[in-house]
Amino acid sequence: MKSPGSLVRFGEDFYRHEMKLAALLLVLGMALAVAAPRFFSSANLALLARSMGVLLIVSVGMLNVILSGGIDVSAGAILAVVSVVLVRLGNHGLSASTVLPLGLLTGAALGAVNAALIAELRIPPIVATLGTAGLFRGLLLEWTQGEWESSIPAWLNAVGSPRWGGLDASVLAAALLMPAAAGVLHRTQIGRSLFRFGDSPVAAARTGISPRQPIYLAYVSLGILTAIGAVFYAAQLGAVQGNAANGYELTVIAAVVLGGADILGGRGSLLGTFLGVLLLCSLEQALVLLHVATFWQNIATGAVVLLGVILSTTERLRRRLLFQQSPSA
Amino acid sequence: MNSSSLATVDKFGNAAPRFKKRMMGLRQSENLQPGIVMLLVLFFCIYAGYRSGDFWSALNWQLLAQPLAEAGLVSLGMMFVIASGGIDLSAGAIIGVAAVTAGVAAHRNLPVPAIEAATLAAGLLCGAFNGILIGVFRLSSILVTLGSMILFSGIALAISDGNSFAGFPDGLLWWNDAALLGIPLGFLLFLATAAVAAVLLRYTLWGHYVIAVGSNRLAARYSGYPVALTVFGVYTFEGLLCGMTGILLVARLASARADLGQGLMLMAVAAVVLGGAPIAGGSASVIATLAGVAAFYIVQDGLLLLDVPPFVQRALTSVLLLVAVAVGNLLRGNRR
Amino acid sequence: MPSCALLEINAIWKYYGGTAALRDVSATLQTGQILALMGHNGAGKSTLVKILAGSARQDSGEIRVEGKVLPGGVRDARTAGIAVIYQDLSLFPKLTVAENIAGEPTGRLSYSFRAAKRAATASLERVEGHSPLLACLDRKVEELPLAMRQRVAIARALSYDSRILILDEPTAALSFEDTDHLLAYLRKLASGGVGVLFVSHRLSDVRRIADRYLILRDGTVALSAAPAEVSGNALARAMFGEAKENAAVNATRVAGQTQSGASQDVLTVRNVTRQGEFSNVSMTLRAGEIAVLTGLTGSGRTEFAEALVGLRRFERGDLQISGKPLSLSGPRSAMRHGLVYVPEDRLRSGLFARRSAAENLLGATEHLRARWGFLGKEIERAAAGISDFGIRCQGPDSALETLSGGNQQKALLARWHMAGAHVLVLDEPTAGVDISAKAEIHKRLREWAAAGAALLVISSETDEVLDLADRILAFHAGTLVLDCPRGEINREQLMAAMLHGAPQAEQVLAPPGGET
Repeated sequence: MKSPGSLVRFGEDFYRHEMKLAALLLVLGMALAVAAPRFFSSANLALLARSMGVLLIVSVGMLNVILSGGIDVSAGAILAVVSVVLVRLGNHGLSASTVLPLGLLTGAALGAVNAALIAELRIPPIVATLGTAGLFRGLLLEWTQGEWESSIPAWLNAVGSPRWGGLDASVLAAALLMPAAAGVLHRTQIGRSLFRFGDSPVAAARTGISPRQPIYLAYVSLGILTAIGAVFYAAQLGAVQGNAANGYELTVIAAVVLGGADILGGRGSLLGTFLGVLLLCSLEQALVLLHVATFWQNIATGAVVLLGVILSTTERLRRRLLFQQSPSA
Repeated sequence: MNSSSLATVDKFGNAAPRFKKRMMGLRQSENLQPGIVMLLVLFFCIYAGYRSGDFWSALNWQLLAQPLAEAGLVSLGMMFVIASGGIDLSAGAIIGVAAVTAGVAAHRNLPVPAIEAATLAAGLLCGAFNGILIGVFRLSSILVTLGSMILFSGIALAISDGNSFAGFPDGLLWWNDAALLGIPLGFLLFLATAAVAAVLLRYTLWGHYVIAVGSNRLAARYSGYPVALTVFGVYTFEGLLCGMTGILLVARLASARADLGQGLMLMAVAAVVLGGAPIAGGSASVIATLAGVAAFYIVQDGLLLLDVPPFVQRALTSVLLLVAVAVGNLLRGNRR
Repeated sequence: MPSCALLEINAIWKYYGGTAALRDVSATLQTGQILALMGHNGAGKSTLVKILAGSARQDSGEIRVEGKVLPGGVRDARTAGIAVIYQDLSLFPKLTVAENIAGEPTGRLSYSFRAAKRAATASLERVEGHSPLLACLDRKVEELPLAMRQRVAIARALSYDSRILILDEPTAALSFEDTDHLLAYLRKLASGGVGVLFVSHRLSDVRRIADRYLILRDGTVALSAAPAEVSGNALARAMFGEAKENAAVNATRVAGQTQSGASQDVLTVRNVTRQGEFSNVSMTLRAGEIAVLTGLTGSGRTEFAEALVGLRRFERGDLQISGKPLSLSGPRSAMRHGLVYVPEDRLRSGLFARRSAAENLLGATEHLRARWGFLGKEIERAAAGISDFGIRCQGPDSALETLSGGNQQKALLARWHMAGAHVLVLDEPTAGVDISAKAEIHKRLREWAAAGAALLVISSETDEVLDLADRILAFHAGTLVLDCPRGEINREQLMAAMLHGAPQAEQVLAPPGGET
């Protein structure tokens, strides 16, 4: 079977969830065409793309983590830390070519802390990242004393400003990163080892995959990608503060899970993640256009996530019934 | 099927030492961890008391007692949830819903018992919502409570319109003001609830079922346990406790906002885990959970009195959580 | 020309904590030889396998493959040609068959599904010629039945030119037919030069295939000899260290002391059908009787048993318990009528591994006796039950997973016994259980039946079927082809019934490996 681009795999029902999601998006699109045709104006679509940029980049990292069977609730904290680091260092006069690598390094280091806690100390991912979230956030708040940094270096501002018909650099970055990530995940041994480890750590160990490799890969990549996201986040917002992106990780997780990744690990795809992000951001955008109050957005997002969960579970049950496996709880 | 090759291999493919015989209590598998935690906290208390004169004052502990009670109630509920093999990310949002419900009820000048009933009912309903999706529909608890967290916070915002409620009747604020023998009433309520929870856990069928479901859901089903009902009950109970927390919070702050419960969910999870319960479920202990809650609040309070900057407090308590879990792992022999 | 052995195990010692798991263990495996590694639980078999596989390291001693010392580690063992097929198969359930067979890390950076599929196809064709796996290379492993999954595991092991194949309890969950295929296949591999180390509890299988026995007891080598040199008694002595009646030898013993005469019908099914699984099955379970249900995998017996207790629904036909027509919706409703299902995979679906032994015995006792939902005395009763049932453990508080397979099964049975279950469906109750525990379990089952319970035991082991049954039921391709008292049928007829659907005396199969 030919693979149209690196985002698709062979297999009969591999993409069933993604197809369902695409269908859902289609329905949403049709509803919007009727209720708020302004949604499809080029200006609005550009706005949508811009809003998706950061989320996409961070979601790729979170996908890696979830594929490995883990979870990371410190992503928001990491985002905030790196964005403050970038802005403060930039404001101190350091050039972009110094600051950006430092920012990425920070993200990688924070991700490595998570990975170390999980791989070396065997702390369960949810607990480890809960702890690091508090740790990173607390230290960051201490550093910023809760104040805002409302002026950001010019080069950072430039990164975030819309050009090319309303799009900005974040869209470009996401557009480049996603296929690259797909290539790594589906086409390299290292990427596959992530799937294997998430699927069955025992089997992976017996195959000679030490748990260190996939865990460090997952969490450090999340750290780096979050750092990249932080660049655009700061650029788009124009200001940073210690409490930035509070709870952001939950949106990211929601997007990845909506996209069909199995929370237990071993299953997921870039395409699905992309569709999940698209769904969440479109929803938000649509509600804004329809002048719906903020809390309705929450309710709608929550409902959509729950719907997605119900859909994916019926999928699993259906598959089990189909193949007549012994019924289990 | 040969048991030994399967049973003693953990998630990382390591064999727990086969010849190390582990003695485990009937309900609590990790006997040592809460003890160690309390010991560390004791050392900390001694240190803090030495460095700060106020630490051992009655006022300090009275002020500490109420927030501790609030966090404690949520933690008790979370303990059952985690023991059943799940997690409730929406706990904070449920508290928010409960709190604004109280606000609306007070706004309508309802009598105090009615306000209390409405608040509890709100929490109960939210918990039941989770319970149905997780218990009956067998959806993943992380995913469901992630979604319901977003949903409930939206509902809370909708009910309150983003505003903060004030003007609560004295009958409600009584929960914060009253004290028996110098011990705040809210704290006594918490202790009573903890006692009830302990009995439920250890001596009732339901408690046994909860542990069984968390330990091996499939075996529980094959053994004829009412799995769906048990899990439903766990989340509903958690919702109820969140409602109670809502009442105490509102009484203490004399105001209600949608985001009132923020942070309590993480605190509850951390407390349960700190007490030594495995995050995967199958084991729980009220005493251990109490130790976990107390540890966090006492340490936080002590750090406050030691003039440690508030943000660093948060960092330090997070480190405490990580250290405690790592130590617990070591004790359990999770490393090769 | 002196040829060194394919595999040499020299003076291996291994400690876990303060206890020696392996003590001065030495053995050799020649090219083309099948060596059976036996020993009851805790003897050290798994430890030795782990050391050979490279996932554990010995404290002293060495392993040599064709004369070269093995440094240790999974990769080195692999490169040396050692492949292990674990009991849990260690496959990746969410990945495809092709990926499982050929998707191993090869040291190259890149990975391609097509290449993996091609490699898997090539490997299967090279090793097996026609392999049923070729048709399902794109299926996910979790969708395949157990026997197929095992073939995937073996195919994977063979795909990288293994010279030494180690199989850990491969036949424990297989039917007769699949076991036959597997053993034949192993013979073929051995004749092609592969050395096979076969770890097993099943004497009947081992006797058919082993060129040599290696028996471990308490970490040391208790016996290392060719089958011809070893009598049944010597075997038992080597494994247990004391004279024990070898229950498996007594196949001709007439089972059961059940009273004849009016036994009431406890469970009746009439013309029950599930499309694609079984059709028009009618049978009756009577009080005081042990009926043993057997048949090849895929013959419908497991599905039938699950349907009996409500895990699957009968599409047609009816079920009656004590004369009352019923429709069961699951284990819980079955329990309400005293009908209990003891599943095959006891650790996965029957017991709570990390909880204490006493707690596992609590089971459903309280369901019947607890007042106001309070447990009270039940916990003490459970603890007492442990000694009553002869369950060997470190005390009622010890974790269940520290018990041996046999004691775990006893615990599970004890639970239901204490709960007063009187109709039981037991699926492979002695799978993975050592011989002495097996005898004890058989004894208890007989006592249970003698006290009035009705037992339906599912078993794949002919010895066990003949040993235990008062009545034998056999499935073949979805129909019940045999339903007769034990005394009316012999081994050959039974096997014929299962293989061909009718107990024809003419189509006699030679009894496997020597008379038991």
